[in-house]
Amino acid sequence: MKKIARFIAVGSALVVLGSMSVFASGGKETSGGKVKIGLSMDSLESQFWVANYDAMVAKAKAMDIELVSVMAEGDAAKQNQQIENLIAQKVTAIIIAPKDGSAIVAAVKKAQAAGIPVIMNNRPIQGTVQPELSVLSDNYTMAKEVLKWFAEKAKKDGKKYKTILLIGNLADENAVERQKGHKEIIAAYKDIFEVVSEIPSEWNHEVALKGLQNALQANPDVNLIITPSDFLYPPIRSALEQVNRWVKIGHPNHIAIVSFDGDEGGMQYLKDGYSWADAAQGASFTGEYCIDWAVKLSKGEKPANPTYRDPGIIVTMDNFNEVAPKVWSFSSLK
Amino acid sequence: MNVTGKKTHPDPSRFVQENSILVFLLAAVLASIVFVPNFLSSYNLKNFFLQASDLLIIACGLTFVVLNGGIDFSVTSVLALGSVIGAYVMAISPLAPFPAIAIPVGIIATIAVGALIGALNGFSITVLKMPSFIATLATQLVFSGIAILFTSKVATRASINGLPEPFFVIGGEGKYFLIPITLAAIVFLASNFLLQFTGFGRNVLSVGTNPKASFISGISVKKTIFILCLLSGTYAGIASVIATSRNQAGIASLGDKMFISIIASIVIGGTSIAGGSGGFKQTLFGVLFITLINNTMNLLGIEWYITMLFQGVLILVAAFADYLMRVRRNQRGR
Repeated sequence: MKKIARFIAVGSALVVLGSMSVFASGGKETSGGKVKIGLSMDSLESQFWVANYDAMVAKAKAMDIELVSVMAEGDAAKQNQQIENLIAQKVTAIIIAPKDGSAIVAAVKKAQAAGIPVIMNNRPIQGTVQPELSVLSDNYTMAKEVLKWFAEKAKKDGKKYKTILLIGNLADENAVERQKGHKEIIAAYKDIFEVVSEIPSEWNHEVALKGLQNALQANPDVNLIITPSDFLYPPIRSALEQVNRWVKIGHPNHIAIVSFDGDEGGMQYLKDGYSWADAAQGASFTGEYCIDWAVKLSKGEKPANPTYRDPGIIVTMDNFNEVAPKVWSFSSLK
Repeated sequence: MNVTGKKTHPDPSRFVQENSILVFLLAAVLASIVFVPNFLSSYNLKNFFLQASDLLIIACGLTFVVLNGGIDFSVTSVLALGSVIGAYVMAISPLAPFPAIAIPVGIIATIAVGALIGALNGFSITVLKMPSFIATLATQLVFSGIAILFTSKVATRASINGLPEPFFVIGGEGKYFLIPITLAAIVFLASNFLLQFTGFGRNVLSVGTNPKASFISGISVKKTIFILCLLSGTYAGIASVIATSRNQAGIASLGDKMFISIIASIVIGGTSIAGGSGGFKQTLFGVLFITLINNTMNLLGIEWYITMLFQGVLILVAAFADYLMRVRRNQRGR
């Protein structure tokens, strides 16, 4: 029985290993200038990343390019190992959406030492090592612009806001930049915003929910939540529902929300009148842009500028009908 | 020798039966050589053994605990906290400008973190009579949280970079790749020696098989368990030094998702999760097998979700095999 059990355990591994080599998409040796792109993702934790990933897969398919993707599941060390494996299979370019902009440095150095160009997808690298291209959202400017629109509207209406400021994960440069943009506008419009609570969410729903529950308990007169991502809508909605404040614009219990990302959830709440504004990133566009440039870099082309900053789209309750159709998630809205 | 407390005889069929994981590992290596492009490249072979080295060290520590019938969830928090404390000493503390002092102190600090957490686990289990499952789950949560808190206070991000270049030698950078592999080999051989040729090793197996009978026969059960916890934590500290050096950063989330690979290596290798049966040789084969699966699947370009699914199935099947063996042992015992 022991023999049989072990045979099942490990024998099945062998069978699958052998058969997978036949069906694997990336099993062929790169030769004769063939483009083979490695894609290292952190995780598909939000709709933004799903749309970004899907766009890259679709673009590679449309261009008939071999794309080998690995997923780090939120583990920075695992991501570095996976990139080493991509280097070992001699990909011609690597697109990286890093878990941690600092911890990814070692892997980028190894790729470049092996002569493989690197593109940072949406999240920048920290330190002195420079990738061949960084495709980033202009998080700082977008965060500023969306909150500035809200501040100007409040100024015109003569309103003041007791504010909860949600923060992402400080390992994520995007979260840092968005926080910086938000804080700069809050400081510039001191007479409008009074921040009663800052909640570090660590990009974690439970952490955000607990922080929101506590902040709403301590400050029942809050009337604005600024969130650095639509990803945090589930805890925001849950916390507001618990205090009967998940209501549409115009209702006396309404709490205004200013968000970031432009994903299906955030845009739907904007359309339905729960949210006031959303700074939408180009999830699909930047994904396609990464593939385009991975192919060009594989063929030896160099970008004129090593950083591309996607300006994004500021969608508000005032310009929704006119601007929202340009956002990647618009076709999914009900 | 399979450590089951019984002396084995040189019987080839029995050898194959007891070392089926080795037979399948060799067959899997052969399959990889035939089917997996670039598997035999020097870059990949170097990667393979480097990726196995820290996993082997941490798995050896946990094997002690599992052989004893316990579990240690806190090893991943040792990886994280040890990593950021060591990185702090080397990159931020007042010692940082003096690498010749900062590096050894950082290494000692990292290993000391492991020993301290291990000792705390040992205290909780032996003195406070907490089950290892609860005690180590609690310390895992506490020290993972402290790792994130500590990093956010000293570095404002979830990782610390700027470590001194000479430290990267321990992680196997460039021509020094044999260093972590040698360290792993020393830890493995020392563990095997401890288990097979010392009274302590016999005590570990005896307590794992039957703690009450061990106590009656004069074995200090508490002391044995305490030393095991200390060893497990210390080994995780050593693994943390290598992983930190390899990633060239102190990472607060280091090892976050690693536990599944550690326990999979032990279980697939053939050490019983119920204790009393198994050994380090099995863990070595399990580590090599798990590393091989990850490596070859990446090299084959197999989609990440299939890799995850496959690993999960492997663990389930191995756990089922372990269950069948225990049932069989129980039937024999009647």
